[in-house]
Amino acid sequence: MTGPRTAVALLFSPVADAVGALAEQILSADDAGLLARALARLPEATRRAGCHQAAVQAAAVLDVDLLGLVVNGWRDHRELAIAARRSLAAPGRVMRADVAAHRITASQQPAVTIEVDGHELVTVGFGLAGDFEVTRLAARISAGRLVAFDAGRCDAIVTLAIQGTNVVTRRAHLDLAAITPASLGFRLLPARAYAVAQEIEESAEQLTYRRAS
Amino acid sequence: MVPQMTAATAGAAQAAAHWPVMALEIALAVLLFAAGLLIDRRVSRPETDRGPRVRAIAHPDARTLVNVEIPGPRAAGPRAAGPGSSVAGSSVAGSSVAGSSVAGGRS
Repeated sequence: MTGPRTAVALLFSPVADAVGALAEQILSADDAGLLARALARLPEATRRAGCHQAAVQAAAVLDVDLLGLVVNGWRDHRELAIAARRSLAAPGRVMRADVAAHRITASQQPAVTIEVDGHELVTVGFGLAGDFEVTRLAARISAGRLVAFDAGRCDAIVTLAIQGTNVVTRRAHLDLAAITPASLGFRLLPARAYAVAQEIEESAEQLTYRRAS
Repeated sequence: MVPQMTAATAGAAQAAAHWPVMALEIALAVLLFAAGLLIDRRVSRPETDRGPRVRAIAHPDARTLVNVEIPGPRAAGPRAAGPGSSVAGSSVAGSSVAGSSVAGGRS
């Protein structure tokens, strides 16, 4: 993969201190003055501490794996799902899927609440939106999982919104062929499908063992 | 002529000189102890005395709204993915294999 792997890394890639940059964005995005009003009564040091802690928490919840969002979309992709089902029914077999160009959009809306002395002061709402254009995807699928990329290109646009206002938009290019999935690969089917497949396989093994003995 | 002092007189003089030094030592020890106590109290002062206690709580969005758009009539609708979400959209996987462009498998 070329470029940053997570949303925070992409959104704040030229900045070394992502948390500091996010704290600034939280304050600057406060058009309605909700945060400023809530924090106005507090001493300067407390206000800064509140913003910093909110930024720390926000950086953690927004540190979403970009490829994970794409894989989420592939779970809904008909051709990939069919290939995954077929491979699950044929253990040990690796199938190749050539998938036409498609677009995946994914969004999350986390929030961070700032508390002072145990009392809820304000809740800052975030919006993370990813727009992924996937082209020339060729993948290998085995046991219901995407185990390797033969080819593929993914152009991503990631946008961060704070309190409903878009504050940062960044583009990235993911070279899918350069990505090596984790040892087991990416799951393309619901968890239940794998459990059922395992049960069937175990039953078949038991049957074979009984026949042999 | 230097007056001759008896051993008893010399001992009394030495003891008299020793008392102020001891008093000074004791005073110094008490002072140090008090300073130590003060420092300790400052260090272990409750957090409430230092100012408001601030913390931030994250509410991650467990549901990722995902939508796949495929040029042509086979587009999938939006669904929510993630823990606790339904498996809406998984019906795509169980549908007919017509139109699949999956190439032949390799062992």
